[in-house]
Amino acid sequence: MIGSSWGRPALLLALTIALLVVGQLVLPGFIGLGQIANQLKIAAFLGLFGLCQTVVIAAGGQGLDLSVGAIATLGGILGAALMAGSNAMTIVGAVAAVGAGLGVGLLNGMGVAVLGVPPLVMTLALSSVVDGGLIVGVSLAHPADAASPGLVAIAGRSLYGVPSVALIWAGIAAIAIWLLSRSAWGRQLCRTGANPVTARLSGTHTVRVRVMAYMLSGGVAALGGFLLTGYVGQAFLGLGNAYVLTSIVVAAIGGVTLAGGKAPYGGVACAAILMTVLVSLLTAINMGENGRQIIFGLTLLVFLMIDRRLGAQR
Amino acid sequence: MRALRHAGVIPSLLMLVVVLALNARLQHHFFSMLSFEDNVSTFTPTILICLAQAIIVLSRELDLSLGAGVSLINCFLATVPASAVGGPWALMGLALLLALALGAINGLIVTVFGLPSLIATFATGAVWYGLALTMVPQPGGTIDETIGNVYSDTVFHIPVPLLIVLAAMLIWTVIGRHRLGRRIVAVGSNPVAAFQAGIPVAGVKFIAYLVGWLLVGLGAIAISAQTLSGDAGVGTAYTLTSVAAVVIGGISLAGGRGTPWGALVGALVLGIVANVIYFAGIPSIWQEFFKGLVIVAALGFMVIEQRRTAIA
Amino acid sequence: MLSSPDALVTPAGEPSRLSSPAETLLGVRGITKRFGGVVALDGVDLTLARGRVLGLLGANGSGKSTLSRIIAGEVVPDGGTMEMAGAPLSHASPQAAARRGIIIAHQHPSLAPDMPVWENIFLGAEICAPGGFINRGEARRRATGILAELGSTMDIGQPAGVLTAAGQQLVEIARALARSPRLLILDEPTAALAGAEVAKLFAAIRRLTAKGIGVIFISHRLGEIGAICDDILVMRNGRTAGAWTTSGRLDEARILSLMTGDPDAVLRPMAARALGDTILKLQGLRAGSAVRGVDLELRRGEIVGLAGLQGQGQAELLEVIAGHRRIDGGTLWHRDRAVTPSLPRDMIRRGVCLVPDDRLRQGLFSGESVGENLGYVKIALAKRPWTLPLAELGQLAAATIRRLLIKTEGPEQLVSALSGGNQQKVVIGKWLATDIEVLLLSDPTKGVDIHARSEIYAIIGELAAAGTTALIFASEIQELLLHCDRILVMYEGRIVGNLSGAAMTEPRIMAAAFGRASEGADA
Repeated sequence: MIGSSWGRPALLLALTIALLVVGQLVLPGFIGLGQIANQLKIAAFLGLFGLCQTVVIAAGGQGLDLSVGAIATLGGILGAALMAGSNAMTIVGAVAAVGAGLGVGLLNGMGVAVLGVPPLVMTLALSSVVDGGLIVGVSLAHPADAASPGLVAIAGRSLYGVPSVALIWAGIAAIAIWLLSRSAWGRQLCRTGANPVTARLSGTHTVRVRVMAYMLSGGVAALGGFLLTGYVGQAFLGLGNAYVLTSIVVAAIGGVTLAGGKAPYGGVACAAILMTVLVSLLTAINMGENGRQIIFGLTLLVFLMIDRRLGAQR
Repeated sequence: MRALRHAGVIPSLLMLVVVLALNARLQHHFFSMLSFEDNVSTFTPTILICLAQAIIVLSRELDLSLGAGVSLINCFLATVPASAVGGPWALMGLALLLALALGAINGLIVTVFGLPSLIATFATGAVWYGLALTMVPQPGGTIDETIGNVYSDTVFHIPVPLLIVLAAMLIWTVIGRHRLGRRIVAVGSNPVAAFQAGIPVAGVKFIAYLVGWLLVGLGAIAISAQTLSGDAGVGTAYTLTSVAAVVIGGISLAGGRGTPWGALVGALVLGIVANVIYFAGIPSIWQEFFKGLVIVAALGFMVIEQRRTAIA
Repeated sequence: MLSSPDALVTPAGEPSRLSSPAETLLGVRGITKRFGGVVALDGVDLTLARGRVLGLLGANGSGKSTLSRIIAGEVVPDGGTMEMAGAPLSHASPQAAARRGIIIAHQHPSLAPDMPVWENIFLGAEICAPGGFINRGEARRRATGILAELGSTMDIGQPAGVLTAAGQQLVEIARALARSPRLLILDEPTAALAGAEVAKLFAAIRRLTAKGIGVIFISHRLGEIGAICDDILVMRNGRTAGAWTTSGRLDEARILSLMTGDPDAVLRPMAARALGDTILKLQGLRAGSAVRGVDLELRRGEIVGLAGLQGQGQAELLEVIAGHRRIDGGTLWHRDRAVTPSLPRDMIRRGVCLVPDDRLRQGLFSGESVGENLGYVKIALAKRPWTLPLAELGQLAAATIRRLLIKTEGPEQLVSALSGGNQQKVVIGKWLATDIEVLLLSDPTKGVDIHARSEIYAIIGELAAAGTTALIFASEIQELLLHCDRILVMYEGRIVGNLSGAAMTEPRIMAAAFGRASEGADA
């Protein structure tokens, strides 16, 4: 049940609803329209970064992207610098941010797929370069760091009660789910992850597929960082750091297995909502960062063990 | 010589010579006793933690919770008063026991539950960090000064940190000549062959985790002795450093290939690079960037070198 | 039929040797084993006396390896009993088997590539001083001694990963000897060895049997079986097809007929077929150490066999042509164009498709369904990768299942649940999604039962009739003789024989396979 393509999201949504009910019982008012809209906003960011991990983990070879945090920061700072608070330049900022993300992703992908560097090492190393470069850039150039009013509006406002970030996420999620499960490219990605030798011998350009996976991850991470700048109001060093751990957690909970070959983004999106509700509940009952970290780690372990059991049964 | 070449240590030794030469040129009185002691006490924790990662990697596993584990042990030392457990030495003993417990948990999760170590230790790392934050929410607290004094002391004119490093290398040399050490390498080199040869693969990996975490415990005590305060973020950077040092030291992440001597060299390269960047008068804002670049360059060098000498 | 106990006929000459319980070292009764849907062993009996060498024979996939791995504790049987020196044997691990003195040397050595030869020999059975410290001097001395017994003077300090296949095989055998076995199983120990090495190995085996050690010797080479074995057991399709004691000369005809189960097999002469233009041409093609200058020419609609001893570069040659291995030298012509493929995709686009050696790891996505596997080539080559023509793929899968008579519950069934023969049909079937010009098949009938085997060759014949060229590497010469227009023989990475028509006979192929080029010259 939990292993099937619908069972996982259903289970995660059921858990989310259970958490919401518990929250309402413990703290009356936990389920309010405003509350839920706010949580969707937060979940949207987590969901975007979860997409990055979904794609690279599915590509196999111990895939992982530990540079999503650094790329998000890059996207935010570069975007903010270019738009310099003007609405007109917002689109330029967005394009530049995503372009930079794609570029870093390209380097990651080349290192992993062409040179054969383990993804963990490659993405960690590149993230330290990007972080270091950002320190230099920010210190020397003192670029503008404020989000334009338009971006703030996009990231903060709601449309008929639905936060517009959540709408953007829903759009991207729809495209992602279609691309990963209903397109030839998605199949190529998953088969490359599951068995790169068979995939290659069957005519897949496995190197290209893997490089594209890392580029996609970089592009989405940079977009996430750019939107995050609008949500927070300004870009700063370390903007995306918190998402490195959490993105991997939601991917694993959503049903992506580290062995590669599976890209169930529907599950990952539900996991992003679940974890957001969990965190907000924990925050609401005054649990600090410490408790959240512990619960994150334990939740991840529990889901890993469930998946392990399911894998062993088959 | 052939063993060295096979272990892939030669390129990392070359790197070490280069950075040492740079360091000697830039740091005044590099060869004086004072600078030496200073350098050794700075490098010791890094060396210990990199050795720990090396032993785990040799068995074809990985541990991404080393940094968080260091933080947790540091916070433990800062929270528990030495007087409550019977003095600073007992406290250090308890810290080592804690390290072994953390290693045992990771080892069990990886061997008994069969979870991939990459992501499983990522998860336990979050738990260690959370626990460390619970103990020490804000950097602060004090650690018994005795521990600091012991660390900066000398025995027969040999600084204690150097002694610790020597002891760690001695431990490895002993293990490396023991059946256990060779079995760790065998399991990492080809787990199927090891299993067919009757080696208890899971047990060997578990022991690799225990040995590794004993060194992590020593490293955490060394860090605590230097800072004498608790900080849940103190160990964070060591995870990346240890993985980078292992790769720079010519140890294959696929297991079985390399020696802890390589990790020692890798740790020294990274430590001395930091020194060089500091003494070269590079503006502080450039330091992170250069460090990142050096790591990437070193990794690239090693990856190309390993490809060239790969065994089919 | 022949698996009944009375097939275990003992010649009148020496009845006591096999039947006396005191002399019996190993007794195996009614062993069964299934892997998924495939029956590997179906009630096998085996008896081995002390100090004797039992030759275990059978075609590929007859169950020899499974049986030997069960005896060695690496595979747990589904049913049956085993007895070692009169006491029941029910070990579930190689260690337990080793404690009873049962040691196996595998056909494909599994060594720790990063460790030196001497450590590999004592892996898991290290020679230690008190306290567990490795006694390097003693271990190196003993390793040198054991290897010397096998006639090898290799450097025991070099990492095992750099050894040649023959070197690795010797290390694997040395490792088995180092454990002082009471029962030694040698699984195709000579496949990678040269003649002189084989003679020294046999001398070593003789020294063991003189000490009362029993040996199970698995080989494809009948000459070796005759030279070293005291008893013979022939297996077919997971059963005992016959067992007897050799007395002097080996009855090769009897063995062959038992192995194939078709004593009246007559070579069906190939009807001469009209052949088209040259489609693929290789000139001095080199790749790594396995392919060392191959010249060959394939014409449209031709079925060409690739024969030779094991490991002469046949599988590698196919991989080079398929674009899976890099070309180091020479030219590969496709029609009139020299091509240098950088990956299989480049050749697949030209209609050159590979059915690889290892079905489950290289040919199939074992976690996916039959339909998913059959449609994947189309997905991999999709012109519009953002779409997925599900309906078209469904039709393709259904049509292929019908056309190749794939026995499956339906396209949704997991491919790993199929029998070996049907899995192989899926591997061939996935190429039907493209226009195949050249089909390269690497040991396509390995682990496939006789019925499916003939079906697979029927498919190849059908494709050839439609203009596809097939280049087949098979380890069984009989198969190639039955189905090919022409047979090329490889030896040490080169084509040393090109036989067709009346020249296409087993003795001539074997002569060429052993590198006697003059006898296998162009017919």
